[in-house]
Amino acid sequence: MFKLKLTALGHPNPESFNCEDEKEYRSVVLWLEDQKIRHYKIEDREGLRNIDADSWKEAYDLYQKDLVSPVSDGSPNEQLNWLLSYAVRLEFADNVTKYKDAKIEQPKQAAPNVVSSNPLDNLNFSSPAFVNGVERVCALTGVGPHIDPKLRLAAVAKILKTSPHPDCPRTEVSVVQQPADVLKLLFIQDLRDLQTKINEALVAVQSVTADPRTDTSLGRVGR
Amino acid sequence: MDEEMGGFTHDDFILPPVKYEYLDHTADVQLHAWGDSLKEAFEQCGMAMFGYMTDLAYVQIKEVHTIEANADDMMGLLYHFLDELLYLFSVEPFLICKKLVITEFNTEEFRIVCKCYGEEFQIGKHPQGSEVKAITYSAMQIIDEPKDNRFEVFVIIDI
Amino acid sequence: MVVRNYNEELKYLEKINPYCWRIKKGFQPNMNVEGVFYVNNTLEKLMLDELRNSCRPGMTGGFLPGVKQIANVAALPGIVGRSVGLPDVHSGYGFAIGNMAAFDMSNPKSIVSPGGVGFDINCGVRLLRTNLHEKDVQPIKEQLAQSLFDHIPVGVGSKGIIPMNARDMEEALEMGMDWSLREGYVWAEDKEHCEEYGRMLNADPSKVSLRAKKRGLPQLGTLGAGNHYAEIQVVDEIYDKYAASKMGLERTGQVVVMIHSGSRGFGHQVATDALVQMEKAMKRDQIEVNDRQLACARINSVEGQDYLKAMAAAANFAWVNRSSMTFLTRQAFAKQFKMAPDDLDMHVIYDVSHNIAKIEEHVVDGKVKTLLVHRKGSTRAFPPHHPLIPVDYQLTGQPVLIGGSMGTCSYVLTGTHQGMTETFGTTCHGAGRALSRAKSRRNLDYKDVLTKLENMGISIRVASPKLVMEEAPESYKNVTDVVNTCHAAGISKKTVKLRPIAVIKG
Repeated sequence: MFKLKLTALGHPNPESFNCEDEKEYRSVVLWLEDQKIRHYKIEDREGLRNIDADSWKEAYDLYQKDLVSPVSDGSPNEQLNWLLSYAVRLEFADNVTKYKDAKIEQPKQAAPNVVSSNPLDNLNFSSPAFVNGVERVCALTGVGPHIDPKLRLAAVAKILKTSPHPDCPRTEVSVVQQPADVLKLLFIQDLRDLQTKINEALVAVQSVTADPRTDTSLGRVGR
Repeated sequence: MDEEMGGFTHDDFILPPVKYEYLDHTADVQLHAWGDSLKEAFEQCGMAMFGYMTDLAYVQIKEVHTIEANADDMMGLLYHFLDELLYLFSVEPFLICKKLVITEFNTEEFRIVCKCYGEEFQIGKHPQGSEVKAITYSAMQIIDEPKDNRFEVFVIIDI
Repeated sequence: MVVRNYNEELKYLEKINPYCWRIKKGFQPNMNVEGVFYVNNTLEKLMLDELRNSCRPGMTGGFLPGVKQIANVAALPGIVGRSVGLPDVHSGYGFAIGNMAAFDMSNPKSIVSPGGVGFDINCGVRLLRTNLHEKDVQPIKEQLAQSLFDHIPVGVGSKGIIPMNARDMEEALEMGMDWSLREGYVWAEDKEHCEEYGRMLNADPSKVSLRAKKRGLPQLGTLGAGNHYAEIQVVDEIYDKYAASKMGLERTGQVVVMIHSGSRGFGHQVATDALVQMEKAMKRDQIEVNDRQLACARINSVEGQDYLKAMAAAANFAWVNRSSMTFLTRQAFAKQFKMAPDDLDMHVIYDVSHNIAKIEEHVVDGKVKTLLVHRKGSTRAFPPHHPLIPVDYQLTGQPVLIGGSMGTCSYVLTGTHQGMTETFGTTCHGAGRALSRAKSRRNLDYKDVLTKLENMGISIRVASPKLVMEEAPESYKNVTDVVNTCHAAGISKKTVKLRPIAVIKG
């Protein structure tokens, strides 16, 4: 627990920290105040430093009150979680410029990918090519004129869904057929991947639930 | 089993004569049964159905169970009577009947109470005949003509 | 009803191409749509003979001829498209067996009919492949057949050997194959290769009578009797190499296992209960039908909804049932070959349903419509790229498993676009009876049938000797005629032919 936040804050052994262990818990609180939060002056940290003393609990409650922790009445885990988050916030505030750059890097990489992978997303709906294309499909399907080509395309889509598909002119058969075939094959490939994943999931569940049995005393088989 | 046998009287082991036959039908079989009364024709029809499921010569009388059938008309009564018998065979006690005795035959309120004599069907002891899927109303006939002493029933069973 | 002689009746039938006949309105009263049936020359004769026999005076047979039943179904409220008869059609209870009909869900008068599903709800076929070759199996064929017979409970009065209590049963009814999966009886890939992924989501066990549950409990995991079987087969011929390889069938001689079974007493009781309920609903809602056996209720009535929920539970029962037998089959093979089932590559190729009603989307008169599709003794056969078929078959179309009769070949077909438009994605299911059971028993001799099978190199283990005659190939229409008709008519496509080497039967 708390591994991610402890790692982010540079705790020496985030892997092995056990929040159930009272002593380790207290040490981490002290470490946070000493290294990260620094709310008290060094000499005022005495109460927290006595991690073996019974009075530590009181000091901890007071410390939380001083920090205005919203979960000072919560469970020890909730309390520590808040302290850790608070420390992370302080750490971030101290080095805004450094962390800001780090964060922006990832979305910047992802965004162009999405756009480039699907040409339909960056279609220019007002380009003459698009307008002309819509004009041609509308002529085939008998959709009347309208200023907005997008609206006309929506009308075409509606017609294609509800009425039988118009036969395309002979000269255009291969132009339409070939890409359609390619799309079908790609679709089948995707479907196969999906089905394989479904089967793997089923097999994984079977390893928990399966217990096939037979009991020949229930019925008589053979002679 | 001797203890069980103790409950039977000598008369229980007297077998009725066979008064039924199996008639032609493309996918299924038609039962034709008759008797000196309509009651007897019904009993015979029930035995005809069991006779199609196994060879009755291999069946011993070891148990007796009582069934009851109710309906709104005569055809319905014959249908439900056979359906109850089929049910007796299909579930506990899995009874295959050698002899049927109808103890109440009410043709006004359409009600039958019948004693069924036989034993639990056992593969190995009883030859396996055909499986009856269901009783049908198709071409069902009940001939009830006391003045000519004609009592016959025709039923097609789905197999 | 009008009485006409055979020649007058024929005026209402028109052969529109070598494999397809049209049944015009007026053949039976109140037809809302036309009927259609698919036959080749041989099957055509059987079909018309049946009609001619019924026109003879004094006929008091139980069922109307198949062609009349198709027309009566065309008179049901809310039917759309056409009432379709597949090549293996023969007369059954209400609907013909081999009949498909779709009803418009948006029409408040549309109906659902238990007779359009059949007593054995979700009776179906499952095909398992192996990586064995016929020559691996031939030396121990008898032992293998015996081992299967020792593992799978078969025949009338048999009880399942998978421990189950009432609570397990409730869960299984709700979860279908997911229950088998959870308990470890099947593999994750099995679910992927099953119609509806082995589970109908609208199943509601609380709509099922206690009687049905009691009948079902001891029978779960049993094969049943009648035309049900488990067969060890080998690939005899490959017609479509690409589609076959997608199914893992690479070469002739490859060994596969076919399991044909349904929902046992559970489904039979659900159907029986529903028929009683629907008689009442018909009187109340004043639904007029041509034949009393076509008991039905409006889809959105309480009876209609309750039936669909109970039927879904029965369908789930059937999938758990076939899954349990898949488990037993894998165990039998593993013991014989001392290899783990996955090392034997015993994957489910596909699992189809023969007797079921499903809500599907289809194009009717150029518009997408939501329909309740009844398939009785017929198989769904969806084309390539249909969203409801597994990803592995997106390019080939749905595998359609056609079980032959005892000792004859079986086939694997695939769905086509033509089938989607002509028959709502439906094709045949098997051979279809030609001779009555009693006639089979009279005309055929037990020993002759067995000797004949032995000469063909087929090991047989059968619980009931009587069944050997009743189920002999001679009692059935020729499955090759049936399949060739579907292929020639274009409603499905031949992929693989399978030949049996061992049969386990009730």
